[in-house]
Amino acid sequence: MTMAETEDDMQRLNALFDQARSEQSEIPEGLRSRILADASLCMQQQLMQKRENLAPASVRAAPAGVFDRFLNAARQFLRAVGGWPAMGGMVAATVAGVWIGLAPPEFVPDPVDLVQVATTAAAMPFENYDLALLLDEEME
Amino acid sequence: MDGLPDTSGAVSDDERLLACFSAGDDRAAALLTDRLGPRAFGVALRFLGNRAEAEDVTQEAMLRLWRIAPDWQSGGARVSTWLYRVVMNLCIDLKRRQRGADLDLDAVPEPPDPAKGPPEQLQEMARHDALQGALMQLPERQRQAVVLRHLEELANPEIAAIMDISVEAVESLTARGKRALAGLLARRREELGYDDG
Repeated sequence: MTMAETEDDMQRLNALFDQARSEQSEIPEGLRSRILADASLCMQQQLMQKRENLAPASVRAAPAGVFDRFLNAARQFLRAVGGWPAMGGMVAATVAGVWIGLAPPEFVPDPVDLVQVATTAAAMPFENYDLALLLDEEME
Repeated sequence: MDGLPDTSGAVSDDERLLACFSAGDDRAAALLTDRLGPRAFGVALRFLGNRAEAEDVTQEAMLRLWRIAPDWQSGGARVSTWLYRVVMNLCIDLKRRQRGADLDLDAVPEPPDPAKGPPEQLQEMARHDALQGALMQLPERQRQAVVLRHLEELANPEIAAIMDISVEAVESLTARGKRALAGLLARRREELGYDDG
């Protein structure tokens, strides 16, 4: 390859570059739509983030109402008893106790007998039934 | 980037539009897309030689621009320089992930059928395609430098900032790339109609 041919090749290459630059045009419409859709989504996310960054400060500045104080107290109680599992156990034990009291099983003695309050005539120390009843009432 | 020629009008326009976008102005997004999109797409298309890939890279690069908008530091790098750099990095990453030959055969179209259309038009198309085909045969760094210098007409300092190399390295890459291109195209002189004398 001669020097002249090399220079000619460079000139042709420069002409091709000029032609290529003149051909640069707009981006495809579908691509433009996708880019703008991404922009819209990003913009919304960024604006939401800005609002979230501002929200905690404004909430902290407001005084706690009655309901908020109740909720705080409830949370503290829950933490003190050991959380929701412990609370569940307490509720179950309470319900069982009420049920036994209302409908005790056979092997559980009648609580009234445990008090040993006699109402039959044989157990009365006095022959007068009315006096025995009066004493019975005093013991209740 | 430091040392770049001051074209304050264009630079500040892009930064102002980016600030408007951050403030929630969707018209700014459209304007930035129309100003920067074609350049990003053109560079990606020339480097990758594949239209679908170039569109994906362009969309991803613009998405990164939208995401960085709230944190953009005014007075630093140009928006266009930053975007070119992102496009180039995405292109290089894509090429690395791809397997197979450096030459993307799908990117080099078949020579046009001489029986169709005016000869001059066909010849122009053939020369256009020949340039793209020759670009795809260059090493990636040379291709980058040649596209940014001779198709995007960026100054060497800006190309150095985009490619993260020295200005001297840019000059060397563009010179070697241009010589290689001229040599590749010289082999097709007759086909491209350059033997008219």
